[in-house]
Amino acid sequence: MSRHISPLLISVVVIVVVGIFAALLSSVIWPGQVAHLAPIFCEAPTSSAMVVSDTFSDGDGTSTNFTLYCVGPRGQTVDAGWLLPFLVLWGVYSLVLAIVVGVVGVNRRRRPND
Amino acid sequence: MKFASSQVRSALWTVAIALAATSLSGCIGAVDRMDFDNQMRERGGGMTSELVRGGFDSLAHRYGVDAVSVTSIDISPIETLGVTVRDPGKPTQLDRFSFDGVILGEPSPVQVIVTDDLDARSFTLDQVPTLTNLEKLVDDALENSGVDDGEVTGISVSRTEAIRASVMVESPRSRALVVFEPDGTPFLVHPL
Repeated sequence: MSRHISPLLISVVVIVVVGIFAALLSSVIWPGQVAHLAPIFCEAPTSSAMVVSDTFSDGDGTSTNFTLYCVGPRGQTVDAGWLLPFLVLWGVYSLVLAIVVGVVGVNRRRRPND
Repeated sequence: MKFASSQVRSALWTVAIALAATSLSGCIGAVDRMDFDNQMRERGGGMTSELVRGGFDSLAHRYGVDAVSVTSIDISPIETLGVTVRDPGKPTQLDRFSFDGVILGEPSPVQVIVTDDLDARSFTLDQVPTLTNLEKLVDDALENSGVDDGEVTGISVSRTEAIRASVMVESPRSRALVVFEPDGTPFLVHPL
């Protein structure tokens, strides 16, 4: 039993850790991808989403914060924050990684002599 | 071994490319705060009847009454509602509230001049039916103002001789004040 659980546990941990790095790196390069989570976070009439960046400069350098806003056709705005959308993004990346790892694992088992 | 080192090298290249993309990308898909605010203003600044309804519901809930009596209503982009309310418990006192679409701010006291006739100045939301269709009021103001490429920069409702809703329309080159009756009928266009 433990022989089967350990590799599974390791796989889950690796997927979750790689998932958070992938989500973190990709959200810095392409923060706009979070706007595609609008169906989860935004309700009518503010059913579309935009990612807004706030850049701050101080003695230590420059930093940028991102915020997901649900927006309406009349300029209505609802602050959906960033943490929760990021966690969902992390979950999506982890899920995609899990599917990829699962497919690769199944293929390897089918062809043990390759 | 050679295979492992090439894997490490490709991983390092991937990280380097990702870091370069990070620094050069300028945050793909994100909008700068100032551009975002401008875009929201162009869309109408969130000046909707829902904002007014939400603000008045919050005020009624705060005072524990069905409807509050007010002496002025100010609506401005982006989703800012300012209301001067007659305290139902102490009708001689006025409190100023702001509402951002979600949160009702804390009241700040308003000085009342001895000669002020608050009964003559106050009104309720029911007396200004045009505020239940604020989107139409904004569109009508833009249409009637005669200002090209104008934006509504503020709506103010008060009662002097009668209740009037004044809408300020501005463009980079001109501005006009469009005054409406409480039912939304245009009353006066005053180019400034």
